[in-house]
Amino acid sequence: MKIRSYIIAALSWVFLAAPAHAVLHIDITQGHVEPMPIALPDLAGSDVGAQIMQVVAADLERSGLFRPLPKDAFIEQVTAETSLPRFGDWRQISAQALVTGVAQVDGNNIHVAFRLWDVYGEEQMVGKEYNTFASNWRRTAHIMADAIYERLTGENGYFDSRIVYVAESGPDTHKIKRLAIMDQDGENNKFLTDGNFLVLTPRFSPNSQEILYMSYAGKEPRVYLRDLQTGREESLGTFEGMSFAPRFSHNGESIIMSIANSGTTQIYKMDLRNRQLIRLTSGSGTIDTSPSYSPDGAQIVFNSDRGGSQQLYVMDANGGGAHRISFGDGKYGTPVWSPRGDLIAFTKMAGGRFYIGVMRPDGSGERLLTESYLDEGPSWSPNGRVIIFSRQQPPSGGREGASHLYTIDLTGSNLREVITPMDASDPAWSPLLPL
Amino acid sequence: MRKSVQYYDRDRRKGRKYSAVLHLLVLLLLIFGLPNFMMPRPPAEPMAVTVEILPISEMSNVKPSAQQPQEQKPEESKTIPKEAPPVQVADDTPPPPPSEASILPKPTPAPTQAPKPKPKPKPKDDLAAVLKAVKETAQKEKAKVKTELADDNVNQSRSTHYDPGLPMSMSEIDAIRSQIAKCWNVPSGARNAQDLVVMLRLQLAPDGSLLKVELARESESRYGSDSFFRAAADSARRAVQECSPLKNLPADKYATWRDMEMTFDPKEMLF
Repeated sequence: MKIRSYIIAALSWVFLAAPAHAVLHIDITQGHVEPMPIALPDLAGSDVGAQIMQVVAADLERSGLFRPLPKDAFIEQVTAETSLPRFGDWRQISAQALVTGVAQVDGNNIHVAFRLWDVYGEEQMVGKEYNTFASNWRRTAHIMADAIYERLTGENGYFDSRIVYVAESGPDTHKIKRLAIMDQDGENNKFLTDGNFLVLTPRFSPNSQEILYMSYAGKEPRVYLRDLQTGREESLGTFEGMSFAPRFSHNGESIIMSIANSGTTQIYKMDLRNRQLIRLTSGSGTIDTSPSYSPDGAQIVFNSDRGGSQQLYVMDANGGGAHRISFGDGKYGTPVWSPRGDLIAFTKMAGGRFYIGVMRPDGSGERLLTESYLDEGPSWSPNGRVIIFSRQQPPSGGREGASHLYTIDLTGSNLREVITPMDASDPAWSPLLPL
Repeated sequence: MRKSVQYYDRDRRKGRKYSAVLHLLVLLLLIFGLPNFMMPRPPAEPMAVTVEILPISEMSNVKPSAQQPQEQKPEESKTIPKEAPPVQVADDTPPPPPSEASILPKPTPAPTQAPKPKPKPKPKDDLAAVLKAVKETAQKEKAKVKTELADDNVNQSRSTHYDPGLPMSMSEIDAIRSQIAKCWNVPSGARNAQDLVVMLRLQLAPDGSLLKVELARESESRYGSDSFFRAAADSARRAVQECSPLKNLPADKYATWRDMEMTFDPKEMLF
């Protein structure tokens, strides 16, 4: 009897066992690339809430990755009492993300709290609050925009950063060039020098507190270091010949620059603690310049004419193992290593046109992002996603064309002008400001 | 004594009988393979093969008008999870940490009752009868599945065969692909974007609406540790949610598309 029931059970199993359920598998390789629709209603609680959201919306919109939805389309009106949004209302207007929050002013202080919602997933993605001086509302907005950007793109933000550049004014023959600094969105513009001397190529230190630049203040053009908070300026030593094209190392402890002497330009490293100078390249009659460290400090990219034409080279941080990485038509200059480490941006000159381009550190995957009469001097946003550069218009009516600052996404889309009070060149983007 | 020998002999004879039958059965199984009554019987022409080779097969192109069940059975679509808010919001308290670990971890009702094979064959003395009983139960089960699923679709489907396990044709799969492609906003420009391949597991209701979406298990830890991957996974999940309900799904193949795996691979979309 027992055996029989076993047999029945076994046979039932054999006959009835469902086949292994093959799950339908579909590969999705096509989509579209367009800005994410995001709803940014004013922060409730005070008037400054609207101002903050305006800055947040402008930051996100400028990145080219977000499309803030018009406020008159909103169905739900968010108030200070709104604890959970009505997600259906936001889906109705195709918002994929939503930011709600409050901004309360208390005397000189401000309290800002916000939440970023996933409208389709119906859950909170980020929730943060800030307490600071009311005068800091604009910076608070940038920090908030960074938090939103980071969660939705996976990338670090870059809105809480500044740009130093050379402001140009006056006629071509007596052009006044002053160092100026502003927020990355063009606000809070300030001049750092008075314009008595020509200044060029300002560069930020890794802590955003100091800048290096080249100035004609002395008899010969030299590299200077300036503390942004105290305004103190110092020359980094006198050398035989002109020193220029300075940049900080990744940790800010040393700098690299070029020194030109009797027809030969070499790259030097200077330790900022003891001012010791070490020569990194050698050769005679060649020009090695525009050095830039990799973010880990292990390598340096620079341009050199040692092979006949001006091309890009990468060498070890101690000067060994230099090898050429650019092999396209034309000349390459002003390479700068992305803070993300994956790309090198450069200026390219070919066929009478100028281009801003990027390539991988091994020289592969060259892509040209911009083209004009004169594009030059790329500098990376702190997250390595956007490049700022200067673009000069062709001369007209016997006058030099005006120069302005532009940004471009590393995908080659979203070209935007950065509005400055006067003509501008030589931009350098700071790292994220220390909190 | 004699009696016991007799019993012994009878038992032995019986044992031999069982043994012979079982050996025969094993031999038959070896020769013909496992019979499977749950498996769809191949139609007259080898359809699965033609479907794979021809871009659009006549069979698979028959649209069983998936919208109709939607209209007729509105209660089906109510199973889309729109329930308790995932995040507790308390006024005047610091925002809770974002619940990032889960990608839509919502409890969802099962779409349709999966057929439960519960054979209760009545034991009979004869082995043949046992086999027959088992067979009958299997067929009954199969018939049950058929009627359960066919209830929804029998009037809408113009296909002559009903078969829950019918493979999808290329044109049907392409239809799903093109719908999702319209909803998928690809994360571009991320570092190593070519490595941001996301696999999602979906469960769909008979009207094509999304019941459940989750990240494939092997990607879960990466979701927590890699912010680029998290953004990519979120974009894939949003695409699936935004595209719900999927349209023009062949109703007679619900069993095939009820559970789906979707791989989102941005490498062709890189700049």
